[in-house]
Amino acid sequence: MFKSFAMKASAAAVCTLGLLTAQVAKAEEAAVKIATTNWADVLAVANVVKYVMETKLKQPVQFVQADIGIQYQGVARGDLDLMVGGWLPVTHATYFARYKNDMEDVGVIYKGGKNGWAVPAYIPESQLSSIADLSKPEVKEKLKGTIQGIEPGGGLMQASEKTISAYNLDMKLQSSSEAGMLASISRAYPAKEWVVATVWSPHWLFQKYKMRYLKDPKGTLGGEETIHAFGSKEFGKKFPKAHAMMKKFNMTLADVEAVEMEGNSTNDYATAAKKFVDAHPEKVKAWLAK
Amino acid sequence: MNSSFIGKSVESFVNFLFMHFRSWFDAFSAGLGAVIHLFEISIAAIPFYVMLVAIVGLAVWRKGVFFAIFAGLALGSIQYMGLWNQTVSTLSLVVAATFFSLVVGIPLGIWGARNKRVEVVLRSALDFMQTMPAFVYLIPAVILFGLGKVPAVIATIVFAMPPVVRLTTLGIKQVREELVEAGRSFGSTDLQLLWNIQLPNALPSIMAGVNQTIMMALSMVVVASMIGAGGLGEYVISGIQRLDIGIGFEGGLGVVLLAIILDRITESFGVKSKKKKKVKA
Repeated sequence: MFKSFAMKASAAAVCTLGLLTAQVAKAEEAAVKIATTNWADVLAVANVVKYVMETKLKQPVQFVQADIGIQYQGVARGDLDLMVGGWLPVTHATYFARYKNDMEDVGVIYKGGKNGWAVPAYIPESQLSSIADLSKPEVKEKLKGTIQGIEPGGGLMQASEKTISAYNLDMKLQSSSEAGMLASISRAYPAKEWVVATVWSPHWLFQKYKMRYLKDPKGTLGGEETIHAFGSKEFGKKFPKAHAMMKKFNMTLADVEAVEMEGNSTNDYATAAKKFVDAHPEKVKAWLAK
Repeated sequence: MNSSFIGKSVESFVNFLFMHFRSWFDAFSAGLGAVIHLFEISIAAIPFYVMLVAIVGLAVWRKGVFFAIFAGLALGSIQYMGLWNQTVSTLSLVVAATFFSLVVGIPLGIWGARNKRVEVVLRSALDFMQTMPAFVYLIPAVILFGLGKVPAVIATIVFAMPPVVRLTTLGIKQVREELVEAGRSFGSTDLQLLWNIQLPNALPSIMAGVNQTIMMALSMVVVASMIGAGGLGEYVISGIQRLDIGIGFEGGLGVVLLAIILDRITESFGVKSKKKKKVKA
């Protein structure tokens, strides 16, 4: 009895929801849908793009928050128009291989992205400076034999697994989530406990905590990453002006980190982006050049 | 987006706890971790075929042949998908979380049934625990207890304990007044009354609570793997991260099959004890 009522109710709810979203979608068709995640680097770039599009091109922008894998799928299907955090060649290799034919590589936004394992600076460099040092028994013991990881299955975690076997480390890669990894650093930091985590740059964590990357002589965690903007196949046709701008759009790693730092400390990326754009008219001019 | 005074106070409270009672939390975490580990190694030590025979046997005894065939097929397909280790890991997490939920929850439920004020306080606390989205207490759990199985079990306990507390209270309060009075007139002490009359008669309700607690614990599997619970939840997240529909589905199916087996078997204990109780009463 209850079950059948619940089923009817949920069926009705699903239908209503479908109608509602269809209505909303109609109303917002004119906006460029940009995919975002709660990652500082993506938020920084996406907010700069949004501010420039809205103020200089009079082109409304709508953010759609989605997990990174879903972003690729959304852009490839054409549900999303643009994503601004595509990491190549290593981090998003799996996604890219799968969707490269269904989307447009609009261009490189910035270079110098990096994946790695990092430790707090209070850990003496004489004892731990390279990934190879993790095989020392006393180092391993102080780290409780654990590497603090992020979501399982992603590019960084796959590279980290390879690294463990390449360096023959007897350590456990603890998968969790970005938030879990950050929480475990903020737990260790005030007590100066030893901790090693899988991280990437740009990331605000390097502004909040003094951290350093471990050297990776075997290069199994990958080298420099390039951050691309990917658009749907229809992006250029639907939004020619925004498309032309994105073709020229680029930032430096320092730019991205500056917006990130401001955005993360105030929790207001939109204002941080506005400040940055207003302070750099020459960049905006180059992005908008015909 | 900035938190107001309310959020900031909670944050400072968590930080205060962490700064001043860190060694306590570490000790608690180590102790709880040892118990969880004990559950895990003892469940993992059981070979697949022994577990299969045990569960199928249990299924025949409690639910009959048809369900036993289903349980056998379900476990077989988990093994076939190569998910046995993940399933054991998830099962031990659920068992540990359920164990602690019952150890804390049943006494709380009894106390609530005997004291009106306690019941009022408990109700609000339980409402809070059940409706506060689980993601919210993941980070405080990690700050206080570190990454891994311990915060995962704690977050699961917070979410899974309410049903057994509520249904224990309800079960005891629903025991017929005549039975309680009969007990009193024969000079039972409070403890005798509880042990011989109230608890046996409340057992079906308590077992329903146990069953619900197990189900709630299972529903936390994926969320808990975001702070290091591992097991099937990790497999599911891995599937999402790789956009691999197959991996995601198999991990999810593992959770569903495990849930059906645990649900039907624990549910049957509630039904059986009802019959027993009628004879006794």
